[in-house]
Amino acid sequence: MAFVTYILLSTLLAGLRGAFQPELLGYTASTAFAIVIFEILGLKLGCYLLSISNESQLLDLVAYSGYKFVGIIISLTLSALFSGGEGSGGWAGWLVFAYTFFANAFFLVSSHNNT
Amino acid sequence: MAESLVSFLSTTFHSRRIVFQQLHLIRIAESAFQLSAFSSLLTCQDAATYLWAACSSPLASASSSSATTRFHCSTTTLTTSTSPSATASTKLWQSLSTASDPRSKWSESCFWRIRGIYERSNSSDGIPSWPNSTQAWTGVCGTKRQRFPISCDFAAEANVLQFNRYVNVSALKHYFNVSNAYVVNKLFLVLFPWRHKPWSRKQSVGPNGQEGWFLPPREDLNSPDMYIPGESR
Repeated sequence: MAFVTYILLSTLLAGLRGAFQPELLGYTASTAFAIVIFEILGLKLGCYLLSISNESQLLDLVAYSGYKFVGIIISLTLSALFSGGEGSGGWAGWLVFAYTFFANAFFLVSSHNNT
Repeated sequence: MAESLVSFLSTTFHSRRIVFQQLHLIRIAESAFQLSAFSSLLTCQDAATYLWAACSSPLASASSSSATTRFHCSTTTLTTSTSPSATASTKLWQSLSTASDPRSKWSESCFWRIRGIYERSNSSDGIPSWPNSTQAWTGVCGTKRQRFPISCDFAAEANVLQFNRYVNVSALKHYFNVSNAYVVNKLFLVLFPWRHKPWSRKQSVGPNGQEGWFLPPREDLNSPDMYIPGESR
């Protein structure tokens, strides 16, 4: 849900800025997918280096790495609302981003501490 | 912008939409079937193929009765157009099987496909059976084996098998077993995780009193799911 929503929302914001192209959908999707795959590969590499055997946990890693899209969606929406559709910069955007960043980090650490 | 978005979505989901709009497809197949029955029996096979694809799809049971009645109407059209004087459909089958016309091969395979639709729909979905004349029609030739399935479903089945080989589907279904309350609570938990207290996942109790497998997300808030991160993966 969040993955697809992120792609559609970023394209929608680009359209509100007047910079919409149909290629933007595929571009955003492939970029987000590549980031997720890169993150999972990094996690697997870390597990290999620390010799943690977690064969059955791969789907868990995929699921947990997708929760960040919720924070991305929230920060994109709120920053666009605060800045009036002019990009996602500005102090409000960075504030919301920092909050969702730390919330997601806390969520991931707490979840993985006690599984 | 909205127009290009709509056109993109429509081109992307075009094939899937055709598969899922059963009534539309059945109407198309019905018209094609009647056309071919009136013009020639040669192209009847294509119409039967379309119709079989429409009836064998999983959503066909929703519109089962109307589809069956419509299909019966089209078969009676076929009967009357080929042998208008015959009252029983047995004569149709005899004329088809004894004809020296090379088109009878086509019509014969078409006939077995129609019978296959009838048997399949009768056995699996509990679709009400055809009227008595049609039952007598199929009862005449009950000894021959049908030739099924048609090649149009082979690709989809092969794709499913290929997918099953690489991904553990039963383990994947565990991640999509969510409820509405879980989704709302989980979204709130992701955005506001500071005051949440028990982070450990619940486990079901096995038959020996030991701890078994992890509970699905529907019953455990701490369980990871894949509905919220993205349905596409």
